[in-house]
Amino acid sequence: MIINPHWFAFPVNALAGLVIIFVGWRAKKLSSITHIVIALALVLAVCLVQGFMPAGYPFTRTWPFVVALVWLLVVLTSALFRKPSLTYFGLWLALFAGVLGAADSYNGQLLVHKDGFSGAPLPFELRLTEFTVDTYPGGEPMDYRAGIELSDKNRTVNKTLRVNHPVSFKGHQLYLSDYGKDRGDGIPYCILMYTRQPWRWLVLSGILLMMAAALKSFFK
Amino acid sequence: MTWAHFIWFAVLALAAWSAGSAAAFSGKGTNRMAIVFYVGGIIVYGLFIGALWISLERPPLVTMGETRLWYSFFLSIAGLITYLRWKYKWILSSATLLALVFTLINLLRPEIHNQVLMPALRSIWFIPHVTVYIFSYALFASAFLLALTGLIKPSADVLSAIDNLCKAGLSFFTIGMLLGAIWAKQAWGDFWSWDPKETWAAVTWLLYVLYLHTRKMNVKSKKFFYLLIVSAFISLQIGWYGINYLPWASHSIHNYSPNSSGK
Repeated sequence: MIINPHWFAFPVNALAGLVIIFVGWRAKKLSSITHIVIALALVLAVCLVQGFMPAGYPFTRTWPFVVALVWLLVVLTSALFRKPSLTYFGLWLALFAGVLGAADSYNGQLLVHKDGFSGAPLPFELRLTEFTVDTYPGGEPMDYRAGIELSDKNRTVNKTLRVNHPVSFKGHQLYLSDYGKDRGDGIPYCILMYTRQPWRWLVLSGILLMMAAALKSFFK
Repeated sequence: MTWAHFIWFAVLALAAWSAGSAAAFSGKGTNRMAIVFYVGGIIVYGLFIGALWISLERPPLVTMGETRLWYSFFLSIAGLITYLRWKYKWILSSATLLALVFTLINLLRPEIHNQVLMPALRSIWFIPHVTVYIFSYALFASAFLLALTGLIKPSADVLSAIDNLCKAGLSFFTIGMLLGAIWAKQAWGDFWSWDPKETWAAVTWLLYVLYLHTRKMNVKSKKFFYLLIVSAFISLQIGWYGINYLPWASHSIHNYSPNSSGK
């Protein structure tokens, strides 16, 4: 019952996107407010189920959840073809790129040591050069900094990673998520999270449009 | 300035708000004394927040106690705006009552560790994300009070005021949620990961969106709308602090208590 997103990797997701747009364009009736309300209620229902799900069960990657979101997309597409609206378009774009883009995205965690390079499954290698912890006067941690050496066949770059300050390299974003205990000779390794989300700019555009629409409706 | 001084500010602000609420019941239209007292109370409460901010050397937005402080503050502002705009005499007393409840919780059950700001929360998105959200909570609380009034007194005509509060509240809620999504991408790698807090934010958002959509449909029952507003407000409370008590949701990445990783 759980969907493997990679079944829908490009170009399958692009085709599915075209089908969504085509159905929305043809199905005039779906643009009615009744259909919008039904589609929103379906998404509400699956969100409520997710709200009561135990940790770790990937309900958001099951058919009911995905179908509800896709159905909302179809209905929104139909509404947008009849009556353009900034709010709907922002929501549509963020959802469209978020749902379909998930098939081309991946993420994982990586242990980066001081000694020796480790890279796989990434197309480049990483090494921890230094790890520092800034503290408040009371001794509580204020900031973590990991110096990382990134290298592929052609070049080597040094970057500093901090919490809330990810680094991009060769289409991947790297996030500092944890570090190993200091046993006297400095922090031996850090744990990075890596993601690749080729559709992220579309999602971000949708989010910004929705925010603009929310501001506009407040001042209207 | 520390939490030890809070009681003086709280007593003064609540006294001013109560005086303003009482004054609102006299005369026709808006009452000038009510406005003066109410604004005075807001200034007193705001002064404490400002002073606490300076003494903590970080925005007081981390602990539940601190967010309740902002909630009472914004609630009184939202109540005053509703009063000025729609002239409901009783809205000031209702807002005062809610502010009193949240202030009393802070006085009686202070989960007010003078925590320093942990690395995960050091971000430019932090202040806008939380304050915009809490302001929307206050607007939704006013809508909730109106819906309760409608349920108790079916002759009251409160739906158009609820519409306006929901539209304003939803604007702020949407912005708060999307600021959170942008921050989440920067901090955790994804805009949205269906974390319990995010899921309940989505449920709340959908309920208010459904309210505004069904209002455009030909639904005769007023009770339906009042109940929708009440359930949306309950869902808001679950997402705000309720998930801390849901056993299946305690793993939330939004948990910033000192014992959790907060990552």
